[in-house]
Amino acid sequence: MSDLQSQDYVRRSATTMTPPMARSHEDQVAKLIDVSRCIGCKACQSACMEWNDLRPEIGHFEGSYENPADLGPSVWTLMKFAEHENEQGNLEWLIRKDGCMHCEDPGCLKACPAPGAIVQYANGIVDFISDKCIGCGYCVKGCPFNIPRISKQDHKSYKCTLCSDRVAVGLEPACVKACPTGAIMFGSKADMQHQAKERIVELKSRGFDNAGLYDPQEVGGTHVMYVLHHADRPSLYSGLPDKPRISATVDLWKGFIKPLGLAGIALAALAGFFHWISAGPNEVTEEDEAEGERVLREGEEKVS
Amino acid sequence: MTRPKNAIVRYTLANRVNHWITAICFVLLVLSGLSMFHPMLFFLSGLFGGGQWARAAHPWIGVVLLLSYLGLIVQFWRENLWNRDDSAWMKSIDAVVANDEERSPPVGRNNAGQKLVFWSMTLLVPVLFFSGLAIWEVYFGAATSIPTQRAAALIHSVAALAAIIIWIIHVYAAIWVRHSVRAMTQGYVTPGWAWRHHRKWLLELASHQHGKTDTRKRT
Amino acid sequence: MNLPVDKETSLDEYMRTKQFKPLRPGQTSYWQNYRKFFVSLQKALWGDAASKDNDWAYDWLPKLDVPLYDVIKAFEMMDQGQMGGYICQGFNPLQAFPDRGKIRRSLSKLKFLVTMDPLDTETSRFWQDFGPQNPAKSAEIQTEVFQLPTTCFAEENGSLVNSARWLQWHWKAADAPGDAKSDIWIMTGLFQRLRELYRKEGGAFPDPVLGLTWKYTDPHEPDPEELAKEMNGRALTDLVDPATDTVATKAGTLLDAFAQLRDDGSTSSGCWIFTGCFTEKGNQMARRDATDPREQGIAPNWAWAWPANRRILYNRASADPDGKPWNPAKPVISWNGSKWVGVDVPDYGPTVKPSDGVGPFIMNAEGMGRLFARDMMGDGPFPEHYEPLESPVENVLHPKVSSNPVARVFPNDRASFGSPKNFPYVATTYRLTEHFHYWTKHALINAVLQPEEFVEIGEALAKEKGIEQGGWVKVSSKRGEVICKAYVTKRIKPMTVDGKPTHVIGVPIHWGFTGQARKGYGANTLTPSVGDANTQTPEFKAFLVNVERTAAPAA
Repeated sequence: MSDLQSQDYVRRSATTMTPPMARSHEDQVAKLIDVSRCIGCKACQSACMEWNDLRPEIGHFEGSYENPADLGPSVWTLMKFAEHENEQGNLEWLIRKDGCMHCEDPGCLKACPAPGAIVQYANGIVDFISDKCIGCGYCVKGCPFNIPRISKQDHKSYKCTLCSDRVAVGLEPACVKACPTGAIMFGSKADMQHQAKERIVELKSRGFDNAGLYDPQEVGGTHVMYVLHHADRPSLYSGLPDKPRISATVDLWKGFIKPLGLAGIALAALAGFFHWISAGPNEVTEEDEAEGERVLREGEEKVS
Repeated sequence: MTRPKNAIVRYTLANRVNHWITAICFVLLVLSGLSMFHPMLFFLSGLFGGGQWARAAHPWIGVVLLLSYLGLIVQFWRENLWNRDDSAWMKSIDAVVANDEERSPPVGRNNAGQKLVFWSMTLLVPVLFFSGLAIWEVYFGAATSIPTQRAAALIHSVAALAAIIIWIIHVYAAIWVRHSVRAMTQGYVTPGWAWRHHRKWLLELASHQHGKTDTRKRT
Repeated sequence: MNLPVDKETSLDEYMRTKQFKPLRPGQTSYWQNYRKFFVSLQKALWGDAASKDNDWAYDWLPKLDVPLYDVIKAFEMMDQGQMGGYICQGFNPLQAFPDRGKIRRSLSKLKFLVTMDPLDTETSRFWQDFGPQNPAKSAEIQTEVFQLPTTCFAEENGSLVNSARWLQWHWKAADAPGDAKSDIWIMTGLFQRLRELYRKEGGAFPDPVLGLTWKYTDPHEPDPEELAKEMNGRALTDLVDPATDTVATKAGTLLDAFAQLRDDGSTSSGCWIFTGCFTEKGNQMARRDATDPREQGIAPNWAWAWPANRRILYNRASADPDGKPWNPAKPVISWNGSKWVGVDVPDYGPTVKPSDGVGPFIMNAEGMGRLFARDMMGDGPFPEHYEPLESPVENVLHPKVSSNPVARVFPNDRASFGSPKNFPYVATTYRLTEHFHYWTKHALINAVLQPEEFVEIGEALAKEKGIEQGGWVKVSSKRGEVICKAYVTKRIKPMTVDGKPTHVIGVPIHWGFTGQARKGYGANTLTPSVGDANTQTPEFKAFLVNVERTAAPAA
């Protein structure tokens, strides 16, 4: 996706100067995916492909209803299917729309070394600014949800943009528009949380005691949330992480190692410079040359 | 190569070529690597034609460095084996730093500092290479798990920082001990240099003179 | 309306079974008006050539010598060499009809085949060797195939009728690619050339073709709007209201309702249930007012529903005998004291009082809904349990008459039924969300979403047969075999029939050998060529197969 306006940014990858926060009056948006209403029709996948002009390769049947087989540079959302036999012995076909969670504290943005390649807008959308991407794949390591995918064609990283281009002109994301059951809803995060609350009450009244909202606080909350029948076990839903967080390794790598490392290098160089101006160069003297010659001569004489 | 009459050849052509290939690669890796390590240094990627080039070239240069460094290991491992003299030299490091080499024990072909540089790089370069492979996205992104890649990225960064600091020490020492750089560019040192900095080596050279006329140029 | 049969040698003879007199006093029995619909149709087809003198061109209509020329009958005739040519318009028999092997064999016996389709259908290419998915021996096939590409719905004006009976008009959005032509252009071309040949060379009976009325602005490609008006119907002469003896409708006026149709040749209508769809007020099918006044899913001004824009048939039954809605929260029509009013067009005499006791089921002669069949069914009067023609068990109610005794089964088809001994599992066919029949495999996005043929097997059966998730299997019936991958699922559990586990295998239908998706054998490779005793709908949903693990095919 290309840039909107830099005043929209509240976070910018690999940037030591704080973004201006000029638009912090904007409402945070969110996409709410009600898994209990999803029928796995893949209209969202079609709409995403059509709006974003994505055409992945035709794959093969891989032992699952998931097609294509994985997210990819041309697959920004994917229905995932899990057949779950519950405690009552009944079958629940848990179908979840996978894709970028648009974290409030994005791991991808934290890991990215290319200034401005990943940005977060005031409305919460996390977007990849592709012309700045260097294709290193650090975003993949930063993401707690295994979402970004690097293209083998242009060596850039891609993921769901939450239709930032549509949202910017007041439209709902393409998947939201296409969903026939209204399982995907879009609006302010506050509204979406409210919607979710009402739906959860309804689900509980239908026997889903552990129905709840998936809005993981370990990443500061997300701008893509799920209503789950079994919010106590997100991992039932085809590998949705139970407690997603930015890895401590990534935190460290992109944390104090950075200034510490630079400081270490600077100190080493400065130590050298200050040694030079204090102890000075170590010169060979004429006496040393004379001694050296003597040793060699004595050595030669021993031989001959 | 023109050298003075009393020159002692310290580094052969093979030594020097291998060293400088390694050195050039190392510098390029430092510049491209730092550009991806810290945002304030991202501008360094401009030296490589931009961020995509820096990202693409860095691992390939790393491959060349690994192969080149293997050559250095083959050529120099014997002269870097640790012995009792090295421990003693380390104890008198304060004298060394103050340019007062008379107060430190006589040094063989390499002093303990040089040996430490050799062995730490011998450890760090493979660590950098293999951790680098794990994060070489374009060829190995699919082959390794994400948790492995996270660990590799951290290890690679820390090892690189250590290597850079050791390199700074190595370069500074080469400048500070005058005529050390010339030893690696033109291959020779003077007897006086040998007497002052590597006296034990000089004595060994002198006592092996019989049958060996190539220790130094003589008319 | 039914096409006459051979035995009905005159219009009066035909009409004898079409009187539909009320069986109880006071009932509407609207089919009483049959003759009006029939004559109006004949006038639409033959115009001035259909007159009282020639029984409204009754003799020009083809007559049925068998009760029904359905798909299974047609291909049986083809297989027996009784059909020389086939015009296949907007159909893909090789994919859609049962027993693909029989379909392929039958098509190979034709002298000519014409296909009219926007897509490159399997039927068009039945003669071409596509490997195991279509093992045709081209050298041995003498059929001449004419593949005529047609426009698709987005490339022409027209109406689409859905299963809620709405006729929704659509407009051309793009030009058709290449040489594709509309069905109208193609049919017109065929008609005009045949007519010319009949004119020049004569023939066994040229009259119906020569007499066909063809009064269109562009006789080579009639406008869809003109055809719609023709189907709607118009007054051919001034229509006089007998009650007032004044002209109620002038000649040439488009009719508003089928109640205006007459059997004296003064009206024409190509399709009486469509009367009202294109009137002097305009194209009713093009209306786009989505207002749903009661939020009940009834938007009376969105497009036009047959008949008479009635959204719910027999809607008098939504109110109790006194005319008050059964559910006050969801009223459809109700009696206001002098007439029936509401959100829908009443399917009832508008001023018929509730106290008159006229039944809501006005098309039935007795005015009531039916729980059993008086006539018009092959079997009856009560519903009965019969096993499918291929069944794993005998009919537990009457083992000697296991399946429907009045089902029409051709001898060769019966010979290709398998037994549970060799084919111990039940198969059924169904659809996937990602595809619609055999079209969408030609669309790239759909092919990406569901690329390749598979069958669905329950975990118990998979374990028994050593079939792994995504592993290759061979599913076979007496008629053919399908080699594809298996989806092992918890969603299919064995049924317990007669105390024994009966396994079910699910076979999604969408695969063939043209289009973007990966080549597949197709579900109809397995299905039996036999239909329901009454409707002839093929028995796609229950038949016998065997399944075995097999090696992956050579690439």
